[in-house]
Amino acid sequence: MELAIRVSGLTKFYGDLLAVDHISFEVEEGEIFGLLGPNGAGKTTTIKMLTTLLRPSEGAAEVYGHDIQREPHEVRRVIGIVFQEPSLDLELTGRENMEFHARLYDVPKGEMENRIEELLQLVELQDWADRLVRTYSGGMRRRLEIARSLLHHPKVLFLDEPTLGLDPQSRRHVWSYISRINEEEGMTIILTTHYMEEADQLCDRVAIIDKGRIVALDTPERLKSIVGGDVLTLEVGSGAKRLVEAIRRRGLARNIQILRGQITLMERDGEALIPVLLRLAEEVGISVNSVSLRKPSLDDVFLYFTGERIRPQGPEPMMMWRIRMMRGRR
Amino acid sequence: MGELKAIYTIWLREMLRWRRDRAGFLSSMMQPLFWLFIFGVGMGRSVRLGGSGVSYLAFLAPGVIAQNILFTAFFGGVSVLYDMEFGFLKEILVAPISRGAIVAGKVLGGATTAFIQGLIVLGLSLLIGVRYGSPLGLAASLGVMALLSMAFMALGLALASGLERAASFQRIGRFTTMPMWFLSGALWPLDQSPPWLRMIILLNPLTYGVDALRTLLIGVNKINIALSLAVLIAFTLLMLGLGTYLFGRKEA
Repeated sequence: MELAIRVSGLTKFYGDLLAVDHISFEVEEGEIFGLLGPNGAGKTTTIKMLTTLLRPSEGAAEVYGHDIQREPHEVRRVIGIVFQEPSLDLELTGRENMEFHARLYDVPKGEMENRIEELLQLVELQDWADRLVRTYSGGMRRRLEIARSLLHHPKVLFLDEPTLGLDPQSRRHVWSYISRINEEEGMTIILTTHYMEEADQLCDRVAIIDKGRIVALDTPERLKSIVGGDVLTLEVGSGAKRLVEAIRRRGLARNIQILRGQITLMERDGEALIPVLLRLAEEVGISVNSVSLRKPSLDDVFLYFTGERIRPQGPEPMMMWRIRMMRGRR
Repeated sequence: MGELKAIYTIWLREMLRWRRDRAGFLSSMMQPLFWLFIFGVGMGRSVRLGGSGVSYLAFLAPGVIAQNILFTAFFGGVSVLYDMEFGFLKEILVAPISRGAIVAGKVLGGATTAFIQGLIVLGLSLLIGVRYGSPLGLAASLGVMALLSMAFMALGLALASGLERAASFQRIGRFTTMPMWFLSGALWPLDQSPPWLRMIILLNPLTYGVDALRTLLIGVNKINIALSLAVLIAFTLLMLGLGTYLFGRKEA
């Protein structure tokens, strides 16, 4: 297998702020590789460096053997990218946006029209091709960007939060395009996301990123098996800390996390643990409001490695909103 | 070949956008209409220029052509910042083309627009009775108009490359273009200014464009045409270099 991407010690400072902290990884040809992490973790900065839009502060990276700093031109030739933020010309039609891209990437004139037609059909925009992009919905714009990124047959496709802000139906659409492109063209795909279901379903391998560093990297299956067989979540009114101490003293579970009054345990045999835990809670005089048992998700993997959740869960939407605002500012 | 195609592609996009922007076109034609029809016609009745025997309107018209080119070309530079704000600049910067090709495409795009608008002003001035001399002069004046278009588009692009937001460009642009226009010898003859003012006027590159146009169109001049052309060419090259340098440092 040929190596599509090699990253070693890649680092980016914004002034004093360390956005990406000496990350290293390799991606093989044909892989769908995910960078999963919360907003501000350094995913987009990493993508911008790999696509030659930002100069790294330290470290190096290669795309199909081309160094991103010494041979940016060669790198640009073999990559396609869908940016997190919109990047279409709203005053042009969908077709004109496509033609602009095809000419910039020197797609032969004879092939251009056919390829544009095919791709517009793939993303189901053929009926809208000659209308101004200004009149498109968010989902349609995203689909057009995906179609555009494929025009020049890139060897590596970068997708930075390709489904951000899309409704569930459009998101599923996008997922199916991505899998299809990967299967039919054997294209290597690097995607960033903070939707764990997305990373779990689509990616062959996932790098979990937090505060600019890769905290874990493996297949979604293996990452989840690190966490253990089951994830147990207990909601307690108060005294969560006391209960956790008691659990630790008894040696009932190795991995315990408390987050906003919610206790999460990751253990092999969760079912058998429930009655034991309930008895213990009664002994120390703490009332348990609810217990839930489920298979681990990548979010649990993230919690396991960082003590935080990628997306705060729970019944308090106000709280969630506030936390997102805080992250956004970072 | 690839670079030429890239330049063409970027130029073509500017043309498509310009063709659709009717409102922008009409509003940018308001200024020259005002200067020619209101100011030129009104002042023309009470101003008599010493010596040359040309009407004030004929004296003013080449200046208004240059002014319209200045404004259109210079403010064309802001398109870089709009591209940045709307995210389209990333699409251009990530493509396998040189920064030089991007600058060339942008400058040619903005300059084409400015040049065509300059032509329209030229046509308008004919309409209100300004008579120009030789066909040869008329043809040569097109070359000067093209130079002016490229020079000021490149200046606008250089300024835009050093800024982050379109709003700051508009603010700085107004402070730059207004004095340039008033201090270009377009409104009154250069030699009827006090020495200190003449100094300032002679430092303004637009002055040489106005004077060259006036020489070629109505045969009245205060500056040697060869000097004017040399200054214009040097200024154009300098601005293209500056624009390319500043744009090259931009990160998306």
